[in-house]
Amino acid sequence: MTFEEFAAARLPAVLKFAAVLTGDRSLAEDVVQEVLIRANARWQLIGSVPRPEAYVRKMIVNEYLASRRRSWRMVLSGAGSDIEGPPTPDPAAGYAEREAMLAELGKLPRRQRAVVVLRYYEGLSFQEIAEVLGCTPGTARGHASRALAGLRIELARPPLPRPVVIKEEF
Amino acid sequence: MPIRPGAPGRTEDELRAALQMLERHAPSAEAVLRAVHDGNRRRAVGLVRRGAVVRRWPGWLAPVAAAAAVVGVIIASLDISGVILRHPSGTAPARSAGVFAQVPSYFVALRGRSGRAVVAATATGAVLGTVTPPTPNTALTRVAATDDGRTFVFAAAPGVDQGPVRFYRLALDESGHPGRLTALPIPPETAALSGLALSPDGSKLAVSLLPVHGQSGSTIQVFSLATGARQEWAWPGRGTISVGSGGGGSNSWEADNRTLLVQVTTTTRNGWPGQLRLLDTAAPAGSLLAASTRIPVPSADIGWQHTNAGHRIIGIPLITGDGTLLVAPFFHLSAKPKVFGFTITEFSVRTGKPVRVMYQQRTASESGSTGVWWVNASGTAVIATRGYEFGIQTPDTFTPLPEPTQRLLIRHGTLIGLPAW
Repeated sequence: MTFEEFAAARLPAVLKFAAVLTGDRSLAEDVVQEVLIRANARWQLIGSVPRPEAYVRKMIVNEYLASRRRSWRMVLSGAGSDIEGPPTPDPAAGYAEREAMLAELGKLPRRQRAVVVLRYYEGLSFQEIAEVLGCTPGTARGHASRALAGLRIELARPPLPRPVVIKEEF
Repeated sequence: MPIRPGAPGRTEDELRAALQMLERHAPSAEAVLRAVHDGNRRRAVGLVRRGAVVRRWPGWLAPVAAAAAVVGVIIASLDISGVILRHPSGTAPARSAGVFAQVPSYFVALRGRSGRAVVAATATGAVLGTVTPPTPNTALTRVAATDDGRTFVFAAAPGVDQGPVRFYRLALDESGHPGRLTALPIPPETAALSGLALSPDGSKLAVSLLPVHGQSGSTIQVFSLATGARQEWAWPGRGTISVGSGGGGSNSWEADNRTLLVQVTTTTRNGWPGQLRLLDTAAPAGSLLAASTRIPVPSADIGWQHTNAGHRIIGIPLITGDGTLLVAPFFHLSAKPKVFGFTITEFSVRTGKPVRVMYQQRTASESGSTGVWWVNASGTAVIATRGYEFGIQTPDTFTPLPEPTQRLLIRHGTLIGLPAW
């Protein structure tokens, strides 16, 4: 598979992931552009791994975490802390609640935000998240736990399934 | 962040739904892709960038050379073309024994960041020489090997993503030390290369070329290295022809020095199904379809389709000299529970079906990998990567290459050298 073919097949999904990760169109464009220029240059290597999109996703996360635009914060109208009052049946309330949650998401440290996006948008296990971030699964769980506490997310019961044990065999 | 007393809790599903909303911020794919092809990084306020690389060719021309530019490394042109920096004698490998006797004694590895290549001993990792691109080239971009273990052909380019590409031969002496690069009687190539493969006896060089961006017309050219005579075949319609597995371009020809394994990836509405074909290079030039026969490996196992099954051959397989087996990294994915399988599998050329799994790793994450770089004539010894370790894979054993050899090729889990055996 050439870089061209990869881009045609996977770029829309890559851009959506970057948008969710960064919460900002301009930053997402910067991050993806930077990563794809590097990926393009190294495509002989990246194109030979089983799932190039996973490799590119890791590059995007690392680029996002390393970005120098530390002052960036997602700013949405109506911060979560401004929303008061009991929930109502108004369907717009659900939308507003999500906007409020996103505003709070934008205030999380980047690493916590990355864990949340990898876990709840990409559906990765903590083992996989740890490999993306270069940390232990326990550290990834810790980031997730703090992020979810900050977002007031109540975990579903029973607890999330643990990843299957790595098995190596001939 | 303080939690307000009495505030209602949110569910994980609500978080998922909120994250989905952020997809609305996705940038335009066209704009990003255009910028990537132009090589121009967007200038963002407060964002310090390295200097943009001015590309005259599509970015997929010379990956290794391009990597060199991305990190800002420029090789100074040398006054003497094809300078070989010889290392002191006495660093040749000890006499190979056991499993190491089954594989080539020496290899060449392209070093992406420098544009150079190193020559080293397989069994010890001793570096026997460094190859520098002859002027006006600044980067060695591809390498292919014959089956004598001592002859290699390099593609070299004058700059990152720039042409034309020129070709040079390198011969090692009895102790593995490199001689001088010799220019081959092949006209400089102005189209972008997608692969390189040298026949076992070193008499023919196959070069696959990408179509011009946005157009069809991928071709494969086979040159006689004695005379420079060229034959060319083209794939009808849209498609990409590639030769040479991995970075090395080894084991793409059968031992008859006539039959060449090529991969064709075609474009359909459903993705990019692939085909493996055997090109008879003694057949009349012209149509690749007419001059080649298809190996019956399912197209979904080779290319990339939206409806792909959970298994796929990664890259272009190696073919054994007797033409009976393909050796390839073969990837499996099962959905529930999510298990990733990374294997080294041999396929029958006649039937296209797997006949032996030499290695299998099953993991809960997608970070594993397998790779194949060289195979002996009968398929019983393979230089392979399992995860981030190079070694010699046989049907029964895996013998890691020594640590000094690993360090020439992999560092911190990243492949830093593209080897050819």
